[in-house]
Amino acid sequence: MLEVEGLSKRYDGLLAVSDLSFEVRPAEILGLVGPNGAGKTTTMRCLAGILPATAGKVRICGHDLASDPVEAKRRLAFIPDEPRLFDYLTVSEHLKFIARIYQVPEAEARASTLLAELELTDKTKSLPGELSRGMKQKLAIACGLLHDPAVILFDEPLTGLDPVGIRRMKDSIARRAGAGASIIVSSHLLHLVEELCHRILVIKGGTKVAHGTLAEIKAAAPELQADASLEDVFLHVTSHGPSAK
Amino acid sequence: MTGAFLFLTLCSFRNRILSQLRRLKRPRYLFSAVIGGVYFYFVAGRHWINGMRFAGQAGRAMLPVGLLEVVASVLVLGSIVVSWCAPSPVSPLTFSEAEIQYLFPAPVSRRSLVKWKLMRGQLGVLFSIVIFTAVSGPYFARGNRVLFLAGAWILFATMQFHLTGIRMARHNLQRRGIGWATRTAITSFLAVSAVGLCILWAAKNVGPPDPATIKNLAGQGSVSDYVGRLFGAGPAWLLTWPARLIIRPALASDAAGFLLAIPAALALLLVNYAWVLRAGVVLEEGALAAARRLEESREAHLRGRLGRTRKVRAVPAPFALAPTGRPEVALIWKNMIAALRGIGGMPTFLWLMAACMVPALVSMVARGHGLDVVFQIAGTLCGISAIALLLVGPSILRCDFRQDLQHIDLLKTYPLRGYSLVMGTLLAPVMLLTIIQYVLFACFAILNTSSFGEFLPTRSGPAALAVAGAIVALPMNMVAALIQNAALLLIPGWVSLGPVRTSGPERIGQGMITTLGFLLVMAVSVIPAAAVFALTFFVLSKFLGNTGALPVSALPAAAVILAEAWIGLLILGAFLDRFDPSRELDSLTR
Repeated sequence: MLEVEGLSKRYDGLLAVSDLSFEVRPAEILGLVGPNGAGKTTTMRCLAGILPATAGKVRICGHDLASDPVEAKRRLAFIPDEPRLFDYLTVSEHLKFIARIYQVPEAEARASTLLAELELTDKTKSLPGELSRGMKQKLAIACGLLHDPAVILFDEPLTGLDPVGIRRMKDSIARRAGAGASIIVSSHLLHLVEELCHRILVIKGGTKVAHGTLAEIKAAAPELQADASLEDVFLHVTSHGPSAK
Repeated sequence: MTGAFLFLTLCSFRNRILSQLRRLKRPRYLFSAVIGGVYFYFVAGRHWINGMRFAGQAGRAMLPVGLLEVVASVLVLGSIVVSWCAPSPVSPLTFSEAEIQYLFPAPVSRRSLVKWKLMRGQLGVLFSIVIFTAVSGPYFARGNRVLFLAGAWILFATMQFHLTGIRMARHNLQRRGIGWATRTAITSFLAVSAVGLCILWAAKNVGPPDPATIKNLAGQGSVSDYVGRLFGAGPAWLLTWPARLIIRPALASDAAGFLLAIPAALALLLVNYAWVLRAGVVLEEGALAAARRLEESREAHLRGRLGRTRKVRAVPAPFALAPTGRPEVALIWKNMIAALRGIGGMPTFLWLMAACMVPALVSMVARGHGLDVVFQIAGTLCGISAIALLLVGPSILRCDFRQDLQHIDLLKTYPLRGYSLVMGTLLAPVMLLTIIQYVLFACFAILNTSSFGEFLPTRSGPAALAVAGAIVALPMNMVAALIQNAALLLIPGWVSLGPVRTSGPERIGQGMITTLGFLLVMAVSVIPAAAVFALTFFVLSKFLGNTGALPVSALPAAAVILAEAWIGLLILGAFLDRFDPSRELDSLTR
């Protein structure tokens, strides 16, 4: 379970995220959406422990990310849009490395399953430089999921994947949520968010402008029609929300 | 179209300068820019100012003009030969990925693109000759510094065009099936034949120099006179004549001499320019691959690897990594793979280390056969190398944060405290460096069996020194690596991340400050250990003698350095826990 309380992040003079509070329960998928520069990536990077928050608390399965980072991060996976891989480690070495970092005793079996699921079985000896963009993304996903995290942060998870990969990725996200993981999916692909996510958090200018299920958000905006899509909702709430940071 | 190219070049140049100036708002950049500026002034600027002040004064050159002309022309010919022997380029001209994306599909003739690349290259030439003139002018310029600058531009520009032409010719030859081996064989044959011809001609017509007068720089029978006779006629004159034509304007002692030399030099400049334009290369071929290689090379530079990027190959892992246990071991394992990938992995490294021991082991059986002096020298060199590695080793083995700073956001997601991350990251280069030093110390001890005077009178003196060195090597390497990485993490703005390299005076200042800082901190960190060592040695030498006291005294000294390293590790770890990539690493900020 992920709990965020009053999260703020300020870069020199710029308030990128302002007083953001929400939670993601087990088996729930939260869609994080917002226009360019809304603070989505900053939020994700704060939740992942990459950026220290200026204010606020982030708790992962009850462990405070600031005061108990090791236990918090042990239960967390962050899968960025741009796969960051070590160019001198092969696919299997990446998984061995991650297994040791996260202390995964049954890593070999899990790695085999993940590699098969992500169609990387015949690429175990390949270096990242020998992989396509989509395969690199799959490897980053495999590394993220190897330790069976309780909280998973996906930043634009479908970037670089082919149609088959997209279908598998969506299934995989839904399956992980079904198994009890708390998941955040940050994406500009509103149809993906609408299809996958149980609840949606819309931010603009670093501030929350809408939060809830699609039906709840629609209900909060009576001018929207009953059959309005997430795209209609998004355009509506972001055109009325705060614009200045 | 020329206007668009000019716009692109000027805007890029202006924006680069502006971004460098904007960086100066940050105190550390300003400080380092001032240091870099002072350095530039003392190395180059003051020569320029003095040169301008004394413009027109002739005859201050260090070498006689004839000798200078010959040396420069031989260098020019040498660079041409080397260029013909270079591997075939992936692309005849280097374009960035953005240039390929926007300029190749644009309605622009290939000749215009080549012209633009050549003209844009002149910016670099201009910068080079300003520095060249400032630094070398006092020694080479014969007269007005401005004339020297203009002459140097003609020389550098002509060479740039010529070497570009050779690059294009190499590319075209490759496309016709004439590869590097054939081209190098032909070039080498021609070069050796030409040199042989010159030697034969000189032997017949000039003869050997007069040993009595050849040591003089100028005058009858001097070096200058002899070289003048060698290159004044015959095949050597013919070979160096075109090169001399482009060198003469820079060496002109006055305006009249410059004007006299300039027509032939300009003609050669234009001939080379026309040659490049008419070379008819297919720019698209390999351009993208070359652009990617350029990007990779930049990334490699940013990660601390110098030179061209080698294709990364998978190498055997240094040891089997179990999925559980100390997580720091995973970082050591990863960084050892990174460090040893260039030589084929840990097995090759260990074989190399074993091979280094062979001469030392041979010396044990070959001693007393007239080779003792050789063994002695080799042993001393090993000892010096081991000590030198303490200072330069951490700069060579950079498989630590200097390599992984680009991955800092990934590393920060790992469930590790800062000190674990620092320890795991630093231990791989430290361990590898220490292994190398152990081998060197062992070689020193085996090869060097003579006593060290009264201080270490016994034949086991070198062994005692080697053991003492080996004891302090590991903690010393750890401290050195900590200092290097602390500098990087505390002031990461001095290391450029992302696709653009940091350059400019502040970069030079930064380099100087970090080098001096490293030496200073190393010196300070050694003081407590040195004091402990001296005290222990003073006491123990009375009981154990110098030879016995030396390695024993190294133990508490090593403990002190190790304690310092541990404290440094905790401090740097705590800093890393609070490290904010968005604040420190601009390129990672979203």
